[in-house]
Amino acid sequence: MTAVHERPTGRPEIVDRASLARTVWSWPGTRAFLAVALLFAVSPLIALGSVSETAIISMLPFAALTAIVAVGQTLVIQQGGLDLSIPGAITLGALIVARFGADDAWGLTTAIVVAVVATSLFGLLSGVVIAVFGLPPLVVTIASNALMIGAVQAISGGFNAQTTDELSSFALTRIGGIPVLAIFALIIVLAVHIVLKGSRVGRRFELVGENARSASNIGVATRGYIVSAYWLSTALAAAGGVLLAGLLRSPTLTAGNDYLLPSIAAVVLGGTALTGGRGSIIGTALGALFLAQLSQLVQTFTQATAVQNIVQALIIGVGIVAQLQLGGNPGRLKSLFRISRNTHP
Amino acid sequence: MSTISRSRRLIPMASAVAVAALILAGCSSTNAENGEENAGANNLEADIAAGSVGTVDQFSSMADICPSEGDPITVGVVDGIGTNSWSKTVLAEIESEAAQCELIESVEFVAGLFDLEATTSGITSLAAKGTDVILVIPDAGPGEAHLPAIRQATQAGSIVINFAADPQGERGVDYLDYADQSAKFVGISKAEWIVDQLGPDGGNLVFLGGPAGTLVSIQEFEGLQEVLADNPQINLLTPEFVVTNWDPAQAQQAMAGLLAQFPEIDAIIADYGAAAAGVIRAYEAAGLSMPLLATTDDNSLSCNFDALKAEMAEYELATVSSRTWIGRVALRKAVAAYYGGSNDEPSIYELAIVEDSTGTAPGSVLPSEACLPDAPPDATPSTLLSPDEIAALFN
Repeated sequence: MTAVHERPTGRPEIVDRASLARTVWSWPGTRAFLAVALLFAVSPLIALGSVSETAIISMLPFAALTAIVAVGQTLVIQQGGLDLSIPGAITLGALIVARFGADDAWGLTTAIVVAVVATSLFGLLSGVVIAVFGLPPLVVTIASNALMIGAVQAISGGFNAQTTDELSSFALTRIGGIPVLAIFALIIVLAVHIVLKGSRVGRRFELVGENARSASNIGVATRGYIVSAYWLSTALAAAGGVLLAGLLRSPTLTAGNDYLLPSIAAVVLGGTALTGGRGSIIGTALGALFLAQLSQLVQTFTQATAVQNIVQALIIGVGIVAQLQLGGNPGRLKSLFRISRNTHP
Repeated sequence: MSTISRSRRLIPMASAVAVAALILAGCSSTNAENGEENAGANNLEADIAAGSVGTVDQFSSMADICPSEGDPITVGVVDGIGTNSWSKTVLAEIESEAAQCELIESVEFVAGLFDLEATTSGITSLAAKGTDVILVIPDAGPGEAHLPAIRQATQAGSIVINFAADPQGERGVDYLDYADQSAKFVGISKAEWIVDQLGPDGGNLVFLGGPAGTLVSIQEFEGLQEVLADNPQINLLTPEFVVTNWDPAQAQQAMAGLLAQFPEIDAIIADYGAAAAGVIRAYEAAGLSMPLLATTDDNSLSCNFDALKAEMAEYELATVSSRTWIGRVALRKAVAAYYGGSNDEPSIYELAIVEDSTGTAPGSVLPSEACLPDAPPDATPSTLLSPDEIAALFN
């Protein structure tokens, strides 16, 4: 509690009106952007093909899906939680639209609406249980994931379904050369960013995440914000599932499993602390782009899976440590150099 | 002194012997319960041509194997995965085969859901219940990880026949038989088709397999390499098989990586048809034309072929059977073994191309003929289920 009051005074840059460069550097998104820029700069040196048009066009839809899902995860992490029900939500969303999207079933529009809205109810449930009963998010979201996987099994009867040609060809269209999924992701990221940073609701949302008790003290209805984080996260994951169904055409019944860890890694790489509070949606999106390009790069560089996994894990690890350790404080970076200078006189 | 210590040592030994005797007695009593009916039959040896290699035209028929009268028999099927369309079809084929033998009282099904523990306990619990015949797909993990449970079930008196995934171990020692395709031969079949299609000019080839180190992909890859050794005009682009985990989404991403790395790919071999569907999506996403594709049969590949071919002139498709019928073979062999009959059909099948869009492979059908329009995209057109059974399974 007191830490919140002390922190601003403990930061000289705020008191002294920090220089523009410092302010920009202190944004988590800046560091994520630098990481992405560095990765793209290095990519052609390691594997020329990894920045070819084919590679970028193939990579972007997957980056977009990770970004959409990770935006939801950011909201939950900002509330000090973790949403482990993302795989279930993606798979359920994908299945509903694939199975019922045909014209002789519900029609595509209805199926998309049902896929997002009905699936998001599971997130609403998680949020209510967490906010009202105070149960740990880890346990609750694992349980709602199991519920959604159960629903997947019940609806599918164990069989994949194929999306309509309409959706599957739409998912591959490009507008001005950019895959439409990437444009979707961009719109979602910008919209959430603007609401979060530019509106009163957004600022209150961050305050609830930073310190729910003091938010409550100044009259913010904290529960509503916590519930909405889980609800939105599941809704975004379901929307991601709808797009994934289009991208894959026949989504498998485990299609969402590949998105849980990337969604968390993207949030951390993007500079949102796992302890909650302020977050960076733009940073998360850049984190998702970083992960997708990294995966593309190692895949283009070598076909040996062991090497792919090790290299990828190491780079993500370094990225996360750098983001957490340097977190907005150029002084720490300087001190690193100072130490090295001292040890090598 | 020494006598005292010896007797002290003897007490735990004696008790251990007594406990062991009790355990053995317990085992042998279950043995007697199960074994009485097939008196004297050894569940590790039978006249069923265990391990023999052949082709699908050597299938025998349940009618010749199932005796007209005898004791009823219970069947258990344990599938290490058991949730996808392939598994469902396999089970439906076993049930369809079982329906042709009136003596088969029940077919019980255990799905392992990728969980090794659940799979092995499924095997042992079926054996503990005294199930006469246990058919196992040991694919919840490495094949040999299932062996202890398989041995235990065999010792408990059940007839154990593995199929569709290699449990390692030995026929006649750890279990009665193992029925499957020859993965190496499948690699040869597909590679020969590619060689024929590419002609003397040859071209570049990639091979997409399952999870890293998986045996069936390695064996198929070896078959492929054998053919390529005699055909230097074909250039294999990756020294190892490309890992897709048999997941269409991962196959799509892996293929995107390959497309970025290699500007010219003339032919693709994938060891799983549903993963190959992901490969096609990668080409569509990149706006490139599909080249030759040899894989296992998959309804979406068959049914979508004509539409794709209209857009991608160079695309041709050849498939081998996904062998959803292999459980029928396992069941026939188990029934023959149980009643002391004989069965001379092969355990291991050398599969040729059954579907070929170019129409060149002998005995093959065109994709449009193979397509099952009412079945889901990941159904297998080479199933031996009747149209009515397929309709019942998928609706």
